[in-house]
Amino acid sequence: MAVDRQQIPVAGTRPGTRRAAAGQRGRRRGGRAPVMFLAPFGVLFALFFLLPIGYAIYESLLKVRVSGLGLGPGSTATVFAGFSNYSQAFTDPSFQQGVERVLLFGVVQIPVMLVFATILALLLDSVAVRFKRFFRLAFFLPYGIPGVIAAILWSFLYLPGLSPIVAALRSTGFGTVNFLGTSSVLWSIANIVTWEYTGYNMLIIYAGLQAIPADLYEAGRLDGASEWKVATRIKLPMVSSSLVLTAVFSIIGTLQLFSEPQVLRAITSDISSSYTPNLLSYTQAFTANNPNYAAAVAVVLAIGTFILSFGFLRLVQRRGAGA
Amino acid sequence: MVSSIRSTGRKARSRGRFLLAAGTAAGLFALAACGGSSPAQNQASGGKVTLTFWSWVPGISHSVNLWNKSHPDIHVNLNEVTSGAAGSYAKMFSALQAGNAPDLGQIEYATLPNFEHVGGVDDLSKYGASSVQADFVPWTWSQVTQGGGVYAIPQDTGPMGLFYRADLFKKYGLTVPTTWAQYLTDAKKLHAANPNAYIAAFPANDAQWFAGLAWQAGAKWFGTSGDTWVTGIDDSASQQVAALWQQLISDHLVKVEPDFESAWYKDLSDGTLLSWPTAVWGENTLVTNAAPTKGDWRVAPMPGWGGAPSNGNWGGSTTVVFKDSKHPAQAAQFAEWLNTNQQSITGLITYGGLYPADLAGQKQPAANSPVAFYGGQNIWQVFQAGGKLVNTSFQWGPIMNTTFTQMADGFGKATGGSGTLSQVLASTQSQTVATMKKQGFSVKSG
Repeated sequence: MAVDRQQIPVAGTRPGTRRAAAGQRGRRRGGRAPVMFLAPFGVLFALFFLLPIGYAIYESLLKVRVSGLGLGPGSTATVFAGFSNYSQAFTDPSFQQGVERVLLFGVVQIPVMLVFATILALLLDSVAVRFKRFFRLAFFLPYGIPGVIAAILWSFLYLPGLSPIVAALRSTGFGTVNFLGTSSVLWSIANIVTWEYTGYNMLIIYAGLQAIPADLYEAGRLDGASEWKVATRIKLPMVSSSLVLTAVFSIIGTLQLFSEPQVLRAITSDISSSYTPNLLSYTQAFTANNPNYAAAVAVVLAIGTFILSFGFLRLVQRRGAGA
Repeated sequence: MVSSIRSTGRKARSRGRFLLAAGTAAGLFALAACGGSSPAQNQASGGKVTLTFWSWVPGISHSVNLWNKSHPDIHVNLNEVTSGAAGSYAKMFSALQAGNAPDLGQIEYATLPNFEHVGGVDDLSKYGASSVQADFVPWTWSQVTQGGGVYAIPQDTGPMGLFYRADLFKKYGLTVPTTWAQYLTDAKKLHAANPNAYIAAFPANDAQWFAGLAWQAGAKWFGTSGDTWVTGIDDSASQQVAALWQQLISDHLVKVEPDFESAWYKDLSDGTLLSWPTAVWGENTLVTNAAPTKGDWRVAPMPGWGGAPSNGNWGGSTTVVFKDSKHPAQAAQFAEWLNTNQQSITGLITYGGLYPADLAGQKQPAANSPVAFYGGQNIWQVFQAGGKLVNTSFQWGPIMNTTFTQMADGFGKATGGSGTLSQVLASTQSQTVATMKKQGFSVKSG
């Protein structure tokens, strides 16, 4: 979407841009102002973004080599390992299962959440709705609750013996529903994530809807379009860029799934220590004391996220261009 | 969704009271914040030495203050850190790597070999630590020594016993089991009388609990032969324990649920669970989290396996001197004093809820008096006797955290319906050996 916006003005004003660039070059000879303005960003960006990434990549190329019993000083050494941590990651079944799990999660959860978010945004935007401010706040509220707190709250609603939901289902004849079983726990996590982020995505889409000029609706209505037609033919196409944005954010978030499974791990043994790739990386770094492998997993995950997000963007843009 | 962390891992087993509550935040921050306090502070000014000590035992400051009053030349600065598994071990490992670890630290028995294997802890025999050997429960000493070296001073222990609901045992006509076979019979009888009550819970998340039971049965998970580790996680003693609990699980005689969580506390309080084989510090867990059952619980020695009586241990920790210390002799002196001085031990028992490894300490009134919650039973005597039966040949391996994780992941799958506990022991054994080989350890299956 960001690319989208840039392309249009660039195409229209190419000569002007070139002129401006030339002017800038001329000016730069005299002053250091641009550098000064850029410096705070540049320094912080390098210090807290580039440097840690570089360090993670460096760490991922090392490993600890033990000899004999590995007791006492001198029996362990950190050595260069080449890409062995990476080859370990690609052959590690727990890493593969974790990746498959988050992909399955994303394929189901992201569309469900975005459909909900779009419906809520369209409802808020429709002329018929009352108490608009109240509903907007109410829908957005779950996002204001920190993810860990939300997961703890939900864990009480999932725990048999404590949960009013489980008790209610049992007393109405649905039997004992196990929200934390081997096959159900992933969807219990999906439910928490949907609850948390639907309102946030709704707000992005709603902001897109607010930016549509009112004369388009007027023109539509003059042509005899119903509210439904206005929503499907005018509003949805006009907010497609917002939808793409929310989808990309959701893909990134899904691959980084961590705190919900980490919290729920305390109440069920069906979430292993490598349930998601991030959880595997965390376990390797802080339980197994193997930061090198953890760094390799993190780098693979980052590259995967990058490819998926930008792959999705390209896919959507190409289709947009073709239409 | 992105990145907040709640520590859910295993609690430091030495005391129930505080670690269970201390379940928030911090792993990554602990690492990020490393390198703050360091030997840089250890400046001797006018002959005065300052030592830094990382510990998470509640109220250990009372003992440290006592030391500082009576030893004006050696000042100990206490840093109260989060429990080991919640982030302090990660912080210690990275501080060691950076060369700025504190002088002294708190380390559990099971994690000690891990620190020995990165060369992080100093050999205290150089500073006369062997002289205090006789003060301690025998098995603790064999856990802190390696060859001729003494790598830590034992602090507290977790000998195991069977906590049971005396009132409900009477109600259902159960006998207090002296063997595991009787335990199984009781479980069947109970379940027949009340399908909603269970003899115990099986915490699939808790490999350390299982280790305590295996230890009691005579398991020998790790040992050394020359320059090679010998690993026997699936030895016959461990398999015997796995078979018993597998049967209890398969016949639905135990409730599979994680321990130290709200649902489990509730089951302990409302009569769903009738017993809990656990360590001495479980005493406090029940007092704090099953308050309505006051007067109903009693403690019996662990049921036996038929042979000579033996016991296992769950939890407990030690005081170590890290390799980066500039004043190792003074640090060793403090570590010995902290864990053998009777006034210091009184503080550790009263404020920290520890059961001391020091033999004289175990006879102190604070750890040897009737407890009202247990109907006035002097439960400590069960553990005092039980502590002497703890198998001294049990040893921990060098990558224990990984082994525990592999086992708990396996137990989770097995209780979820794929595989048996026995298969989990076999797979944990082969995975541990494979992980150790990959890291370069010399290791073989026992």
